[in-house]
This record gives sequence, C-alpha cells and structure tokens, in this order.
Amino acid sequence: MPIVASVWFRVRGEQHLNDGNVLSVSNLSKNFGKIVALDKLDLRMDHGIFGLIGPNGAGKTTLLRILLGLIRTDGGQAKVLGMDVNQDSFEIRRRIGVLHENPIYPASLTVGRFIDRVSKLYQTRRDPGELLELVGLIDAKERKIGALSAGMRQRLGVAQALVGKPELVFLDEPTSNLDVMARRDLLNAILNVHEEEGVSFCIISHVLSELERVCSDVAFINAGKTIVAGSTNEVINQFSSNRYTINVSDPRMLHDELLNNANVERAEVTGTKTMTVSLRSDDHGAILAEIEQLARSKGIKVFEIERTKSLEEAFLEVMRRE
Amino acid sequence: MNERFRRIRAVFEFELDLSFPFPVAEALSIALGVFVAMSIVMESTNFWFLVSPSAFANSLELERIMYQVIHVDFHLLSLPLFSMTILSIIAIPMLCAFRVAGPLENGVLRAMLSYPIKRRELLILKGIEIMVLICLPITGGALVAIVLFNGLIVGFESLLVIISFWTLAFTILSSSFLLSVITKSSAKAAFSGIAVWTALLLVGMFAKIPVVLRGIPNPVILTLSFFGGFPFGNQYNTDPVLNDVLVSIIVNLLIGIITFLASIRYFKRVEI
Repeated sequence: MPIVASVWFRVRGEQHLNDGNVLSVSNLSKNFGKIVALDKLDLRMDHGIFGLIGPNGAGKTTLLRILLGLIRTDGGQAKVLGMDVNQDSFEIRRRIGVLHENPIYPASLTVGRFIDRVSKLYQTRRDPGELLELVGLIDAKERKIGALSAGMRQRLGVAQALVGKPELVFLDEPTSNLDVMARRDLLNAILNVHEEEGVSFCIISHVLSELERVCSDVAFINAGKTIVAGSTNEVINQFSSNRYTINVSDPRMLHDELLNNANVERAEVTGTKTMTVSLRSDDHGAILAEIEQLARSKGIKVFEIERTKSLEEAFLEVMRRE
Repeated sequence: MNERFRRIRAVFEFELDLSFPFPVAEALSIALGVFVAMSIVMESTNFWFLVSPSAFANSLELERIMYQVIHVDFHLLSLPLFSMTILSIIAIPMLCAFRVAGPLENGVLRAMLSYPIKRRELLILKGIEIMVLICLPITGGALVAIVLFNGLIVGFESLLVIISFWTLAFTILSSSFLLSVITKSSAKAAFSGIAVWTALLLVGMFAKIPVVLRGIPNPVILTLSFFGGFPFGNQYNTDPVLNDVLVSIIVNLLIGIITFLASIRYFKRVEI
C-alpha cells in the first residue's frame, strides 16, 4: 500500500480515539420475553483490536445484533464510531464490516462475483483481487461458493467484512474451521490490516490463545454483564497472579495431599506430569516452598514450578469467582 | 442522486443474486408468458394444437382453423386471466414467503442487513421483483396473443382487465409481505396467505353482498363479468356497471397500498 494511503487510513481510524471511543455501550438492556440477554451492560472499546469473551449465552451475539441495528434495545445506549445504533444504523453499517458466526452465502455464485457484488454496496471499496490475495483465496476466485471448504468459506467471510474499507470490523469466531496454518495467516492478516490501515477490530472468539496474541484490550462478559474489562496484559496479570503450574512425577498424589492445605485455594491435575494450583495467601514464595517440601516428604519429584499466565487462565479464574 | 441510484441498483443485483440464480427467474417468467399466450390461442381454436397433423393437409380444414384464429377477441382473455387469478392466489403468497419469511428464518436477511442496505428499500425491491416475475409475463403473453391475432387494437376492456389483475396481484403481494414479516416463518406465511385469499375469493364469488363489495377482493372477476356480459353475483344486483368495476379496482389498490406501507413499517421493527 502506498505510504500516503496508509497514513490516511491510520489517521481516519485514530480520529475516533480523539473523538471518543470506537464503541461505547452504557446500561444496555435487552430481554427476550423472560430471558434477560443483556443486563445493564457497560463496555468501551478504543481504537485497536478488541477481544470480546464470554461463555455460550453470555449475550455476545445479542450485543452484536444490537450494534448492527438488527434488534432494538430495551434500555441504555450504544454508540458505534460515535453514532447511536438506533438512530444511525445505516450510516454505521456503511463504515463497518461484519463476519457473523455460521454465515450463509449464495452457493451458486463464484467467489469473485460475490465479493464484487458486496463491494458495490459500499461507497468506498477495496479491489476484490487484492482482498482475495490478502485472505488467500485468489486461486479460488472462479470457484462457486458451494464448492468451497469450510475454511475457505471462513476466509471468504473475512474478505467480505473487509471489502468496504471499514473503520471497524466485527468478527464473530473468525478462525473457526481453520487449520493451524490458516489461523496463523488470518491473524497476521488482521494485524497487518490494523497496523497499515488503522482498522479497528472487535473479535468474538472462544480460542483465547489467539485473542491473547492479537488483542490489545479484552472484556469478559457473562449473563449479559461486563465482568472484567481492560488491557489484555492487565487482565492476565490481575487474574492469573495466584496460579502456578507444577511439573511433578506424580500429580495425582500431590493433588490429594494438597486438598486439605489451607493455603491452597484450588488444585487441579492437568496432565500426566502437570498440575495447577491457585494460592490463597499473597506470600507465594513461602507456600510454594511448603508445597515442594510436602512433595519431597512423600517421595514425589518436583521438576519445575512456574506462574501460569494466559488469557485462558485469567478467564477461567474470573468465571470461577463468578 | 446518482450515488443513490447506483446503491439501489447494487442492492437489487445483490438481492437477486442472493435469493436465487437468475436463469430460474427468467425461466419461470418465460414459462408463465408462454402459458398464457398458448391458453388464449388454444381457447380460440378449439385446441387445434391437439388436432391430428393430417388436418393440416386438408386445405379446407386449415382455412377453418385460420378463420377461428383471427376471431380472437376480449372474450378469449376471460378464462386465462381468471385462471391466472387463481394461480396468483397460490403463487404470490408462496413466492413472498420464499423471498421474505424464508431469509428471515434462515439467517440470510441477518447477513444482508449487516451491509449498508435499508430495510424499506429491500422490501420494495423484493416487491418489484415478484410483481415483474408474475405480472409482466402474464400481461406480455396476453398482449402478444391479442396483438398477433387481433391486430394492434387491444381495447379499453382488455387494458382494464390487465390493470385489475396488476392491482389484485399487488394487494395479494402486500398482504403476503405483511404476513411474512409478522410470522417470520415461510410455512406459516405461505399457508395463511393462500388461506386468506382463497376465503376472500370465495366470499367475492358467492356471498350475498352487493356486487361492488364482491369485486373488492377480486376486481378481475368483476371486470371480466362487466365486459364479458356474464352475470356475477348472488341474489343482489348481478350485473355490475362500470362504476362498480372502477370502485372495486381503486379500493383494492388502496387496500394494497395501505397494507404495503404497514408491512414496511412492521419490517423496520422486526428483530432479525
């Protein structure tokens, strides 16, 4: 991409950071009959790559539908790119891209024709060929969508989300059905688009290791409420700080020994030679030394103890506390 | 204005591509047109398509057939247009259910409305599509048959019958759209649409009400009755006058417009 264009896109994307948030939601409520889907949800997303995480039924898809203007809110306010979702839904959709979970595409169209058709819906658009190159579908341009594999369809979904030169892209499970290599390529493409063109991304995914790799900020939502939100590193540090992975010769035996230990909040066997423990007190060094001594006294060899730090661990910890 | 036109054209092309492959729509339209034209011709010639080929060898027989063919007039429109009324009562609710309730049901509309497409425009485009698909070939077929065998004099009667058919088709389409967006189920929308219009057709044909009221749910039959000179009604006034015909067409059209506006209004609020 030419340098001027790259700078222009970056400035355009960062404009919202100066104006406010790319996405801001306050006190958002939505009920489906007696089911409370969103319960006074608060959320803010700055320019960047944002990860939205939550268990099934947490309200992620409902939130996405509200942000796209597909359903109305029962209360509260939601703004995308500074515009109200109820008032300016059309204008919002002109400036964003979306990949839904399990999307449906016309099976009889070719990949190239479909992308071309979608691109014409937007005022500004990318070159379809360049886009298909980016997602690795250029060789399948003349193939019918019905003949694509699940992974290729997913890449097509990402391509159609990017075709209108969006400022913000919502991706709902973008890496589902992709193999390891394709996942890595797709995440790299997302990072590139963000860095070169200043496009913000809101990614909804269950593969937390991927979100950890690409997201600058994350939010955990559960039962229609935001439980935790912040920068990815902060969240990981805050909620993984008392968890340790221990490599031992007999994790099951040590697990049984630790069950009645007052300083150990939770112990879990995670493999044939590994287990994790959550510590109750802040004096981690003393407790770990105590565990090591206990293991030795029972004839269990301790190979390594290290602090567990990952988004997945943080998420599990937060869900346990809930 | 140009940008708006470009965008609407893009939405129309996208909608058409997404809904079903274009050759299917074309084939259906052509089939309908040919069907109407053939039915008019066959009615005028005592099914001469079914006459054995040897008849064509006989010059007198051929002359008789040709004589019958050139006597195609307004009366020949009656049966095919009446048949098309019945067909429309079944086909239009089914098509609407397939094009509106179906995508609502299976998630296609969720994907479509995530793009910069206005709901109002989408519904209007779908309406135009279905009207063109059903009415254009039927009208075209009828006109071609009349013009081919009767010259370029189509006549006021034939035009009014065709207008009444378009009006009826539009009203059926509007009510089917409304049922589609309310039920959000293709099966329910199709069934209820057919049931409602079958009931209205039966009311129009057999109920003991003034002939003008009978014509409102089906102005085609009333128009055919007026120009064809055959009685239409039951106990009340059975011979409609031109005013009855015009009133029934206008009221039917107004009902169609109001229902269409209601379906757009409702569609804007539908949760997808």
